[in-house]
Amino acid sequence: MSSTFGCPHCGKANPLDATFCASCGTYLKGLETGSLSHPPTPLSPDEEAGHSKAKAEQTAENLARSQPWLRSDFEKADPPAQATPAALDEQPWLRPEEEVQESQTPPKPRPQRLVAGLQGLIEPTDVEHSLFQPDTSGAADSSVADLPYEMRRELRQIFAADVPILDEPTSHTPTSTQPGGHGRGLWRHNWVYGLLLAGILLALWAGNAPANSRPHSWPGVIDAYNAIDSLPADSIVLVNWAYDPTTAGEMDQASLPLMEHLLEKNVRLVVVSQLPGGPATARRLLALARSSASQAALSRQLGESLVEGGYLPGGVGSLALLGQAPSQAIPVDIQGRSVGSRVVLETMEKSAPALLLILAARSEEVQRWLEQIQPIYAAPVVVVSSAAVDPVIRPYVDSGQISGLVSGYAGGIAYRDILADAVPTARQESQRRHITGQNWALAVLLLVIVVGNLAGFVERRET
Amino acid sequence: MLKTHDSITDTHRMFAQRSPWINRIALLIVALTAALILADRLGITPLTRPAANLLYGWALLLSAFTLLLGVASVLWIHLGRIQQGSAEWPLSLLLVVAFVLVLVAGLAIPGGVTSPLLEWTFDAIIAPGQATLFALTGFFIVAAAYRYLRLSRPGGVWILAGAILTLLVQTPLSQQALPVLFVGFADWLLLGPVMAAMRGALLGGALAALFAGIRLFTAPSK
Repeated sequence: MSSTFGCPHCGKANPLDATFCASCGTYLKGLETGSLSHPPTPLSPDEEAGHSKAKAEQTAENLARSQPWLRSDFEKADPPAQATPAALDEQPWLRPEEEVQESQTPPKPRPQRLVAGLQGLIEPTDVEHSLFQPDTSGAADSSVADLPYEMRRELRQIFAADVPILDEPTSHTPTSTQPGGHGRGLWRHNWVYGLLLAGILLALWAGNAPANSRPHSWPGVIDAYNAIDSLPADSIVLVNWAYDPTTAGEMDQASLPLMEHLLEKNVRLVVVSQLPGGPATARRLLALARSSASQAALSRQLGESLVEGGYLPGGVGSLALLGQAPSQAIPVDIQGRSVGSRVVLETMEKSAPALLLILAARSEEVQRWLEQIQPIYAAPVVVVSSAAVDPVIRPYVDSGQISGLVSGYAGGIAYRDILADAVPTARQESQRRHITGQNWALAVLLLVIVVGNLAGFVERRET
Repeated sequence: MLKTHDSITDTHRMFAQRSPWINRIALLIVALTAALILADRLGITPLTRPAANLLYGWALLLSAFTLLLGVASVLWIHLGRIQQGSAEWPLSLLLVVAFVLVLVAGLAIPGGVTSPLLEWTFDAIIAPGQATLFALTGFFIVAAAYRYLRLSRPGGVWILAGAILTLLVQTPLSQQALPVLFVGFADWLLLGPVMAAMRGALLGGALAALFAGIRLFTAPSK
């Protein structure tokens, strides 16, 4: 007998003693009547085993009645017709459309969610209810509620469960409401995996070939270069290192040219990160930049001009403190040495840094700094971001809040091109090969989309 | 009977029966803090600066404490799994052993987190591991694109057109073959309508947060 039971909201299997659903956070305590009103009495091991078994059987029976979609034979029958009256009362979305519209009974209280307002001060947002229950108040009908039953059920699964992207071909039957159905025709795992393998091999092959194509450049790179190039020596640059190894594969490529440029300008860097893995990532890239930058231009040791502020917890609050009292926000550096009295921080408290540099893989990090730090210092902001973040933060470039934007591989290679006149490095060609390989992978993604649509077309013909 | 909402109504009743004075005191503290921070950020008077910085410092400390609390919670759960011999308990044991090793190395070795051993741990284990896990999302994206970016799905034409347009422009091979006008059109779409929609969503989110805050202050105590 299984020691788990399905969540009444999303169907995820949870341990019998779980308080919240591990998938959707639905409150699971009290599913059995009297579980709270009658505290359990101590049982012998045998009694406890028997009790657990009976409890599991009762739970499985109840859930099979209330959640018919969990049964193995559910797909073979019309779900609403199979549901019992008790289950229909409990989960009205199982009712047929006409019955739901005729029902005027007041809605029952919804299960309490893990995230349901500030301890009751705010009414919990019941997304499921608002999306899938027809509006009985006479107001405009929800467009989602008008969707066919099968589509609504699929939407519920998408919202609440782990979507099985590559499930077994025979686990679903194409229906008229799911024209892109899968399980027949060209839908085979091997197609997708084969194309992925081809993409990887193609990228590797193209990566070894000389790069003869250029990425599509977006505005903002030349402005970033000018902002850094115009910095006088010994000026202070406050760096927000908002990426970690997760996204370093892309972010390092975009950030490295800028860090080399900054080191060559002999500016003083104050580096902080609000990610636990950020400081170590910064150390690694700074060492790389130090080794690859033009040695002739490096007139002093990195340690003299670098304050490694390390990990800065506290979210928005600590950013405000960093802006108003840097020595309080960064009392010690990453090695535990006191830096509150360092000249750099004392200078930063008296006069604003000359530049704010944000290296971010998420748009929220950029927005936080623009809201919390930039208004305090009124310094120009240069952002290095991942390509995915670019569309979200580009409006700040247009509004002038961001002086320069370097995003993704394309931005990094464009910056490297500008920098190449002054600093020729062997890394330049390597980066070009890298981006060429990556773009070949994008081409394969296009091919996958085309094949996917062809598969859908064939499946519809077969149906 | 499958279930009742007894426990849920009990929870609601607990909050409903809580003294309204507790809510009012809590709201008063929140309101005073908000007023103090607002006055500080608006620069109304320099007198608020030390108090505001003190509050910011508290927020920083609280955040660091919650991080430690999270670590303790993870350890507690996995120690329990090891003790009970739950499924996949060896993985829990591996987690605990790795935690202890890294913690001892960080505390005992001179140099702390900048010591060569921890830097090697980061460079050779943590960084490749995180990058590898993140790289798996590429497979997810391709598989999802294969299955869901289809013309026959609701709104599929628009989604597919946008995806293909962006990919064609971003891929050097196709970009060089495309007419300049086509690339310019894709750029205009991204920098114009898409940006407008994105900014509208941002503003909408900000307004929603603002009104949620106002509602929090003005809603009658339950």
